[in-house]
Amino acid sequence: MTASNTATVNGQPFRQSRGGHLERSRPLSFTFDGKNYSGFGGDTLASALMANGVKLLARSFKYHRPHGLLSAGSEEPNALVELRTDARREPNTRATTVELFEGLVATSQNRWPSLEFDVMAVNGLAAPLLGAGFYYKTFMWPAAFWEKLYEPLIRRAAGLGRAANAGDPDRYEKAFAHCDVLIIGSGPAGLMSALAVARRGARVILAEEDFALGGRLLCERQEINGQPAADWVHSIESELAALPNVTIMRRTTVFGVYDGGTYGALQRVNDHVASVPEHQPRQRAWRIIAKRSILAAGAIERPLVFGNNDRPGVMLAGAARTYLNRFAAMPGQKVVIFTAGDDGWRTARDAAAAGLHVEAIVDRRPDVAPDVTASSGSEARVILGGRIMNVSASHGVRGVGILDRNGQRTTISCDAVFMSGGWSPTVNLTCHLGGKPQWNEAIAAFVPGAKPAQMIVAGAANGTFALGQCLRAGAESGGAVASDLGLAGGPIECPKADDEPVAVTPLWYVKESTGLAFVDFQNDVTAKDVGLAAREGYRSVELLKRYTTLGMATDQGKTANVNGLAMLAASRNLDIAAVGTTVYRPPFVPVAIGALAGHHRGKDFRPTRRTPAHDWAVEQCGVMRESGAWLRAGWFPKGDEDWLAATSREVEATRNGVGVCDVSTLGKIDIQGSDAATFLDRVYCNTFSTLPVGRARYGLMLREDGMVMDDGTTSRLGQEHFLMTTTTANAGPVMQHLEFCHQCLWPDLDVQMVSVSEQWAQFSIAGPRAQNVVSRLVDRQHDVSLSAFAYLGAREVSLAGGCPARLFRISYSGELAYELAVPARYGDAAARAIMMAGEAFSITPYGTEALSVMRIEKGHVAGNELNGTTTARDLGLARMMSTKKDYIGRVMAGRPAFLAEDRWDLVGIKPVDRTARIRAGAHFIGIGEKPATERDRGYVTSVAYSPTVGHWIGLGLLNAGRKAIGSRMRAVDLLRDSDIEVEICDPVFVDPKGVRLHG
Amino acid sequence: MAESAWQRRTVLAGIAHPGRFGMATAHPGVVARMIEPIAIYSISARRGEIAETVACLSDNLGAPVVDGPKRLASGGISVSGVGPGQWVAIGREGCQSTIALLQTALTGKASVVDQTDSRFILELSGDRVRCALAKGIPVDLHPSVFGPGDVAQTIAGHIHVQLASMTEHQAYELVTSASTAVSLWTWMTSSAAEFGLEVL
Repeated sequence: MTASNTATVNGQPFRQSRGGHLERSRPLSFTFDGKNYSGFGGDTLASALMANGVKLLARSFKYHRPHGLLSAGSEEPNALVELRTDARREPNTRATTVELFEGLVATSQNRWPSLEFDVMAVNGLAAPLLGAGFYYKTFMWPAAFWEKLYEPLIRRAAGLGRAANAGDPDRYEKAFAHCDVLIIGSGPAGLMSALAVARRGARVILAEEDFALGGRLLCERQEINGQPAADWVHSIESELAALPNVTIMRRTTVFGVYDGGTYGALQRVNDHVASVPEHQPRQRAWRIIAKRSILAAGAIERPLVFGNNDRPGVMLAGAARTYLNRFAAMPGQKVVIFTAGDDGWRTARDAAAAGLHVEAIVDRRPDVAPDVTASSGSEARVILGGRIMNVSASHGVRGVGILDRNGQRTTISCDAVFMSGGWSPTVNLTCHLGGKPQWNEAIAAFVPGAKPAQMIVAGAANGTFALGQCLRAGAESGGAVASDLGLAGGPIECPKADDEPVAVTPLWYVKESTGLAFVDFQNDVTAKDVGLAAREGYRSVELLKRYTTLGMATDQGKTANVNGLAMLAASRNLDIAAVGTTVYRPPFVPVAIGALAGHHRGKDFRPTRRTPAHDWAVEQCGVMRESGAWLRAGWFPKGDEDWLAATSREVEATRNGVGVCDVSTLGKIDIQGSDAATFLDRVYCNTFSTLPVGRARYGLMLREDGMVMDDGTTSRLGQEHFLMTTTTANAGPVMQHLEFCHQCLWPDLDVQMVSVSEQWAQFSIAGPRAQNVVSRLVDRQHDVSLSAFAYLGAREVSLAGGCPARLFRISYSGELAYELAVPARYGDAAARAIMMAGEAFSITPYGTEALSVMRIEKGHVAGNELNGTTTARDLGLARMMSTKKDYIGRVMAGRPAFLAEDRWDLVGIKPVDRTARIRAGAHFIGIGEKPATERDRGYVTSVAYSPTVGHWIGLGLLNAGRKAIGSRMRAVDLLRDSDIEVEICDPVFVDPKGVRLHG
Repeated sequence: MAESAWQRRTVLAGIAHPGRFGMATAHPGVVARMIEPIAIYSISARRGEIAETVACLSDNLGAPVVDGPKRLASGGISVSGVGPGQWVAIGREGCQSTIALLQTALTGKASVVDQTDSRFILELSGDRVRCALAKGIPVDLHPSVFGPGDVAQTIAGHIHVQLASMTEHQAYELVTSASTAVSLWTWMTSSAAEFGLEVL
């Protein structure tokens, strides 16, 4: 230890005893690779590891090279670790963004058997073979080896951390926030703009990725208004926190910009504690809707590209200042600075001030302003116009090889190298809606180009690097936005701060490098790879990315991209502006899928709907299954019956006695008005104006293009009052369609409609004994005898001494059947009452499977046939299409192709071998023909095992099918390896004359 | 209507219970009250009768109903605009006679449809109610934007809700389909838990 103010602090050999923004009174213990360490409140995992002298943090992706810290922020490509254990294990976590907490457990990844000795590092020796595009060149032959051999091998050798192998036990949330102004970043520009808009009364959200406000102000030894910058930060923070119109969101990364002023943000609510407090989420994904936004996201420093620049101990010069000034951690003791601009000299000054020995300052520029060189504040050797060719190192830096302007080579021993290639404004969010950044030669960086509407950019993110300028830019941006929002008030006073020198002359690549010179540290992409890609013709920057993997993975090339594309530009003799950048897409940083799902996981994946008799069905052992959003009983097994046995029993019980089924999910639409009948005549292809009051009729609705849209029964409850029913699946779409028709096509009609699907619980009571059950249910004064209440009757009745109900004599099963509707609150009671009334007749509850079997036996079409590609004619319902009136779909249904003789028809099918099972989805192929698309004659839409006829049956759409009745085809399902000979028959298998309907 | 001997069943029977849930805070941040109205009606003005319907509603409520997304409550009845010329009237215990009068008065002016059993109504209040609602409702609930009496057709945790800001401080009425009550309840209790939830 050379520094006077450095001693082993709390067992941390590389921690300074004072300085930084740490809570030294709050020591925290943690482990890395099983070893115990300690840090302080205010540390990141990275800074705490540095203070403990841990330099080797990870192994690189491809070559397994030893890696340390490159940066101190979310741009970190190297220091990826596995955080936490077991179900909470999080791979690829950037140590630079992990706030230290008591008991933190971190593990290195992508190494075996240990971080210090990694067998796969042998890949590094094979680097000449593993260059750009090596996957495509090396593993091409034989092709069969790819899946079985090459890919598993590569996946084991490369790749990063391991995902947790159990469900995440923590909760995540999504939430919405609204504001006038969203400010992204709380550095000097962000804080000043927040102040400027907040003081004028705007609703402000200030989002900061870090756990502390201040941005670079926490990392620099600068002064504002004559006081340390961090003190100024605290005073502004206090003022903002006290304003009721300001919400400060720390630990919140704005990761994406979307249409309509919407921003995606991830708040790490409880990532900084060992276990999430009860009832709180681990993370919360915000959708922030802002009238305006001010992007003050700062800038990211670029590495320099030279031999072995990825060795532990080589880091960004600005990051070195962060570790020294914010965390009082020592990134080295004997350091060499390598810089392309003035910024590196600040690091030299701060390093010297912290007691580090600055061995040399190597500036690639032959001429540097005297005030800059004078500011270094150290006795360091200054090499202007020089460059580092190589770092000698094993796990840590031992020295550097330097080439001076005269071609002389020198070796300087050191244990750390701080490099500064210039700063790139964090323009990412300006590009998410398609904007492209523009190259600015003066600062050698991309600055925002076309920005999202309502976003302005301030400070370093806009290419304004000096502190005084940043403060002014923030104040001006905030003022402009406030005025734009029409808020009263004037400009705010701007605090005084110096504008530090920020000149830079970029150096994209040290050509004289020896050893591998890395451009993209995370993906092991070297300068040679970029050159090779260009020579092989991958000349577009997008192709360069895909071919070399430059700029991929968790960091998306935040530190790598500009160097890479500048090198591509150089190799093509183009300006950087002409090469451009790859597309910037959200998210800015990785976002856990759990945060995007929020509450909606497991059973809450999506809302479910329950019928009023849900609990009754569960008590009857109904197997509840999702039917759209509804939960419906599929079947009601008894004993150890499987679904088929239970379904067959339910069908037989209904056909021979009586069954009950909850059909509450059907759509029900109340339609009233003096033009209600006219309206129905226009939306249905058959006529409803002739329907007498108290009667129901089956209706078929077409789409404008002539295809069938939906079917159902509609009853006339009064002269100007109808009740339409729809299929369960189309309840919403039909309502939407009717509203469109009324509001847009025929607003002149006096018709009012409202969905009453939820108001009524409805039960189908079907079977030869149905009338016996119904007559026991309804109050005595209602005559529901077969003669008094005939087929297709619809009437109001009362039950249980006053419960209002509607009774319909309609049938889907083909049996004598009723549908009984009661107000939903009595749905549960009604189900129980029906069971009791039917007890003497062994009434059997049946589910959706039995419902489906019975409708297939009757040849009734359902969703499988009403699939948007069928016409009424196809389904054998042409007779329903009125020729006496106009209706939606009439004209288009008459198109020649819809009337062609070889168009498909609905047919029934039976297996020739009656024991065979037909598969829905199988295609019709002629006997003896080879299955092929050109010989496809149609397909099987629905199948069921029919207990009534004693074998599998099906419905299908067969070309010229009606003419083919009586012939044989094959139902071929290549996916399920099924090829069954079938007889084509009439689609009605049971009671074709409809005798049973009438009891 | 005559009452039947049958047991009525509320949509959250066996699921929602009164008491304190979530964080044991000194005061519940969110207070939930399930409303059991005696009547809910959908009211749709007939052709050309919007003004007449508005006048009739206003007369019967003794307060100015408008044709727009506003909720007005008076004498145990609330009327919320849910679409052009469309309202939902909700009557609470004690307003039987007013509801009956209103129904008669609207004859010929509007179609009135009984929806008493079709909806689940939840009133949420408390200091943290907006924070809880923000976890699933995309509407800006700031009082300067969505003030007392405002109504929105929106979603809460992917479930359609008719949302109204009530006249009381920080109180909201959520009206949703009866069939989605359980899902809405699950979302609400989960969202409010960290603030402390009291179910009345």
